[in-house]
Amino acid sequence: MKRYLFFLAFVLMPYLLPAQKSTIRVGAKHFNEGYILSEIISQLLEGSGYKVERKYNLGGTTVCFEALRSKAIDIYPEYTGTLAEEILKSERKLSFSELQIKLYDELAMEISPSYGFNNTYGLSMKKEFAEALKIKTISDLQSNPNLSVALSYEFLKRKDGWDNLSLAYALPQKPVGIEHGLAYQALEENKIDLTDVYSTDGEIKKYGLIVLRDDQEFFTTYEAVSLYRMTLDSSVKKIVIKLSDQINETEMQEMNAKVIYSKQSFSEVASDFLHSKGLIQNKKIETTVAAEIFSKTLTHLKITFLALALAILVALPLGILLYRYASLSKVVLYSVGLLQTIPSIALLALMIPLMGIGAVPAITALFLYALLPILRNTTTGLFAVDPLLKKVAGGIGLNPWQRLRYVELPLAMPSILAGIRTAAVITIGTATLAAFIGAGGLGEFIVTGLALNNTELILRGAIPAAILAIVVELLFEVIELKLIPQHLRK
Amino acid sequence: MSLILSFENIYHAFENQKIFDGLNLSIHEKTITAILGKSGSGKSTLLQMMNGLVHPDSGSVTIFGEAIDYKKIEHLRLKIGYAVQGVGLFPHLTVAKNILLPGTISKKSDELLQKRLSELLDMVNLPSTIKTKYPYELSGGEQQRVGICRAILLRPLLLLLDEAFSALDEETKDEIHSQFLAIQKAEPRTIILVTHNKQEAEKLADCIFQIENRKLIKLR
Repeated sequence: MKRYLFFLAFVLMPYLLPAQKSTIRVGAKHFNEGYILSEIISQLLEGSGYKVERKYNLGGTTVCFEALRSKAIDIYPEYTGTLAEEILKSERKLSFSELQIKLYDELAMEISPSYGFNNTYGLSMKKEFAEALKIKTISDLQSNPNLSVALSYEFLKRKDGWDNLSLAYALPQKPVGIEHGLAYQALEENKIDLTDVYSTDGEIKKYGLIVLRDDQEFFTTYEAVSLYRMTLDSSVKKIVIKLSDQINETEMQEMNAKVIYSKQSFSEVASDFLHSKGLIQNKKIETTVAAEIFSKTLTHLKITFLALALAILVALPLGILLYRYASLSKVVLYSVGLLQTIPSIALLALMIPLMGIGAVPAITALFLYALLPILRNTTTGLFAVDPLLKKVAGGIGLNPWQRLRYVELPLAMPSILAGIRTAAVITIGTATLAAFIGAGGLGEFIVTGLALNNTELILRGAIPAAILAIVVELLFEVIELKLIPQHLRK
Repeated sequence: MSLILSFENIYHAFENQKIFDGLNLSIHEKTITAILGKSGSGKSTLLQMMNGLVHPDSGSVTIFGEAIDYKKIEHLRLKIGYAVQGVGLFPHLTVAKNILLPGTISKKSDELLQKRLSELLDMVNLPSTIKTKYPYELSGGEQQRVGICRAILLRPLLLLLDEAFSALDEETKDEIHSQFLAIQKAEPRTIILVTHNKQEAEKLADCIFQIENRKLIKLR
């Protein structure tokens, strides 16, 4: 009996871990500036005594917005132009108040006043060079037809890109295409004179560039604002509105550069900003890297164990059932096998329209993945028990249930455990992808690291995940030691 | 002597091959009966009809004075000991657990079972240190004796042995045969053994039958 309790304790472990309290859940768009702004909101709320759950790495606009609408998050930073074009599908430019009204009437959403900067497309050149030529606005370009212009391929193609811009401003230059990542280097080395940028890019600060003023207001404005449901607690709204007009373009450029080039953490940059503006007083208790890794590892374990426990609870009885009704086994094993062929990232993505974002869809997807190895090994393990022993078990008076309990299951145990072990290792690995749909865990480091091209951050998630997989392997060695007599171990 | 088991007019086919064609058999209390037959003649099938592992196509099986009830077959099987060629010891259980399994499931008290276990090991000349060993650690002869201990743990009224001694070398076989007869003297019961070995049958059995032309012929 002791060995079953041991097994049970292992299965129930995730339930025994402490549960989280109800909190404000802050989302973030999957890029540098998105993370910084979300971290500013999070720390601002924490400074006012709220508990905050960070739901970062939510991918693009659609996922964030769906998450907000489905109440998986409570607030996230968004841009006015994006809301007008991608969410409200507006054909024309909307003023700030038009946008407010439409969001309120059509979607029951509200936005805060602008944080104070506009992250739009812009044309940029080296500061000294522009000053020497007395170029301040886009209109000033008309009198400098010989500038060498290199633009990102996207900007060359967009409706609000070069073609219409050059028409609107009657610009004479003939641009060439360049990979956006290389454009700054080319400017630095004077290979080109002008390129397109996002007006808050950290590179503007780093390379000493200026953004030319859009004096004819050609570009859509992308004011950064907080987006939330109108039902959000009014005291929370009051706090986030404190950010109005606190960040200008230069300040945002600086913050972006600090993360990308000075490798400061989001948390540090956000905290420094809020202190410099006097928006929070008490020094934030810096969560150490170790504490962060520990907490993410815990989340990771929780997701993994829940998915695995569910899979065991379903696959084990189902496997026994398939053994009893052998004619069913082919159909069921084939169907479950089909699930396994769906790429994990696709399966996770499929979960979003069905179940939204967060831990539930992630656990569901991982559960589906863990089913097959357990199910197949249970069934084959039971089928493989020596027929003579099955006959003898019946012959000495064991009923079908007793045969299962005393003879068939113990003899199939090595195979069943091997199945669970495979499932566990697969689940730990796949769970790193769960960060893409906001389930948290070690994958958050990896996803953020990928977004920022930061190897150290990627390793911060990958190494603990690998260690976890090894620990689980060892744990199963111990379980096998307890459950299977030595001479029957493989 | 009262009747323990009787087969009347048994017909049975397996994969369209007729095995028994109007077979009759009566077994009396506390006798040893041997059933001889070539391989494929249906000896094992006949034995498995006695504990309900095989159902005859037609004909009646009466056991302990009642028609066999397949719905309560596990209950009946606890009163019938069963040992087979290759012994059928469970590799994941120790000797003690193997022998005591029928007792464990019929919820006999542990004290009683331990006492019976010692008694049985004594009876077949096995040391008590063998209890904690696993089947793979035993010789063929030891395994055979453990198998018989398991079969008679609950003092079954009827003991069925399917080629139970055939895998042993001659010397071990002789030893086990004499122990077998000693057990029968100590705890007389009805025993039916199936064998292909005529000498074994003559040495051990009171009655001997041979399966021929899908019927039984009495030789002794």
